[in-house]
Amino acid sequence: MGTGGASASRVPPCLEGSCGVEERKSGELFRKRMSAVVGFLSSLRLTVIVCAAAAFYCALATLGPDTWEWSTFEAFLIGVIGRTMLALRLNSPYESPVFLVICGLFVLNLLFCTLSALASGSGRRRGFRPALLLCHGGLLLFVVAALYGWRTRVEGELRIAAGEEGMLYEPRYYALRRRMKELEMRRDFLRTLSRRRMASAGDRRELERLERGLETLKDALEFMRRRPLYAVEVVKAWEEHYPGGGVKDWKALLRARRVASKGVAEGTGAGGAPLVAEGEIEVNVPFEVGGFTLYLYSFDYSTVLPGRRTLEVTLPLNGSSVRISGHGLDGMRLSVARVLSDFRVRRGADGKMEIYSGGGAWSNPAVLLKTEPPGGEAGERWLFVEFPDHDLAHGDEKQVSGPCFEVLDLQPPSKGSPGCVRLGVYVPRRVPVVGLGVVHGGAGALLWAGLMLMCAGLSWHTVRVVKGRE
Amino acid sequence: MSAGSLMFVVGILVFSAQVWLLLSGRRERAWIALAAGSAVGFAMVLVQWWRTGHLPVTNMYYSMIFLASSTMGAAAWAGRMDGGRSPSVAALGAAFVALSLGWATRFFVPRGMPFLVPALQSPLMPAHVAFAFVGEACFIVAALYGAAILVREDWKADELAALRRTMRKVALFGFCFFTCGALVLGMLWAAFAWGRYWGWDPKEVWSLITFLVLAIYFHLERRGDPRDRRGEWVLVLGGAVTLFTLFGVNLLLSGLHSYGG
Repeated sequence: MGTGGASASRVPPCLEGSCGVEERKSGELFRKRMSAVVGFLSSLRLTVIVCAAAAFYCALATLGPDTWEWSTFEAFLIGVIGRTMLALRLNSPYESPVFLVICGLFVLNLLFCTLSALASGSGRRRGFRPALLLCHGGLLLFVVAALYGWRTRVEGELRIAAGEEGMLYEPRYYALRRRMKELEMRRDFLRTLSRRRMASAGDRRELERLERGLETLKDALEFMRRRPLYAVEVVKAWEEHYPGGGVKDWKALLRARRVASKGVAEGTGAGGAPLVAEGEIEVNVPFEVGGFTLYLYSFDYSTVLPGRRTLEVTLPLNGSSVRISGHGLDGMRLSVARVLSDFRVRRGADGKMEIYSGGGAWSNPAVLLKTEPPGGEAGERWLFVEFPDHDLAHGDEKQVSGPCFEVLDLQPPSKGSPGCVRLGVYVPRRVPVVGLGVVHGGAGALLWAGLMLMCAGLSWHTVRVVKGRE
Repeated sequence: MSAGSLMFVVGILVFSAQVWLLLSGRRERAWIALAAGSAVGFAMVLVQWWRTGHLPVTNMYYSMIFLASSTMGAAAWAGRMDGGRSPSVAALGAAFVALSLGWATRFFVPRGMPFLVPALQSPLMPAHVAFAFVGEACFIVAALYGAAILVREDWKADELAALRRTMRKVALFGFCFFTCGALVLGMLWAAFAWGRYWGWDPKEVWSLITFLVLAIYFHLERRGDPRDRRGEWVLVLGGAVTLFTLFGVNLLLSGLHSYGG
């Protein structure tokens, strides 16, 4: 207090007085400016402008694809247009800063309009009725909840065949995967600029940074992939039909188990732990597990190889054929067309690939298996003892319709014996595959509360207007 | 006789009745013809509902019949509110919309499947679609009122005020139904079916655009300037946007609502 007095005594009285006037003037000016800003933010004019801008932007956005693929940029939009579009994220129009600015202005307008109506004694002076206040308040609550949900919510998807299982990872995994996709697109853009000699030094530095960042991100995702939270098994999936034959419903029975820290599902071994959740899922009826909500969004059939071999067969190496029966392979004949003790490949003089044996030692043995389905076309494929599941991996990639083979054992020919190869046969089966949407987080209750308030306010106002009370 | 043919005949009859009432100077009874047409249309919808066990608004064929009936119903209600003073443009326009929808249903739109696909197996479906159609029918009628106001310059002040009151009531009634049904119930259903209440699907986006255009009208209308005709222009635009949301999106844009096409 003393210091304040000493300081005040040093200022000449005349100046002190003029300072007070200046302060009052600048205070009034500030209040006037603030009042003008608040007036504009709560004005009907801004409401109309923002609504029109949002409507126009949304209409334009529906003309383009939801998310522009990289190929579009590469083909047409490289250079300044592509750079601007990517900078403004117009490739994903509803997440673009342009749209977010419009939304931000909408929220501000709504907020100021509602607050100024509240401040003016339920707004009767401005013709602002309680029903409309309720409606605007509800809309405001909804928008706030939606923005919160947008920040906290993650989405993913799973495609699981009946009898198989898929994994649910921690929510951050889905958010990071999405982030990685965005960064990959940016990287591809910069790479193309670089390839076309259109990249600046800054672009090249950014590209380097992105490459490093993406590697780190990949490692983080791989780390999370090794530590899933839940294993979701599709025990069975089926269709229900109308008497006339049309599909009435798609359903699946799901079982979810909590996964132990090393990625092994608890309860899958003998005397397993209890399940976390089990139940049916169908379109419009979701399935909940540990904060995740799963939704059935697709149902189709796919030909997949079973997890265990269907049968075993032993073939002599002298070319004699063996006929298989059962398992849908009735009448199929298998034989070994060629045996190589050391499988090698080289380019021949005519430029074609030539397969030959490197020597007499059985260092990389391979057999050429001939398959002759009844009435079908005969086929040949190489099977390798050193890479026994080569054919299975190949079959999985190509979604084969015929059987695939795994080399279990090979006995080389010896005196008095032609030798033999023991094969595991995997007969593909047509199984239902369900597509599951995965969602975690959001601001559900708050959001619905906002919408309910808005509907209540709007209905109340409508009843009053239709009855002629307003 | 198929429902489409019957709707076409109803459209012809209602439109002819409107022309005859207009020419014979009995405009105040126009709403009765519209109400009768609407009643026949809704009776067809109810019969089909009883036959199939679900509200027949799951394909374009019955949706157009439902919309035609709703449009005539909304126009009849507006005419009744006016005490028969509703502008000829609105009454004739509503009848013409019904006639066009009946014609399109009769000759161009396939009848579609009689059963519900899995995605539509929800108790929210009837309310969501029916509310949306009622709202959209009201927007069409309100847009016709807007057009009626715009085509004439020499409105008497009290006539214009009465027309605007009716137009506002119809638009607000539609806005309430559309917001609660198309948007809020749609969000609720989407949350159950797709795990998200909003997915920026073209139908959703165009519904939002319709909502925004109508919101602009209600905010412009609060200015209360009787000479200002911007509100009417916006309503006419709202009518066009509504028609695009109903048909343009299904026919020109692809999305999650494609089973409605």
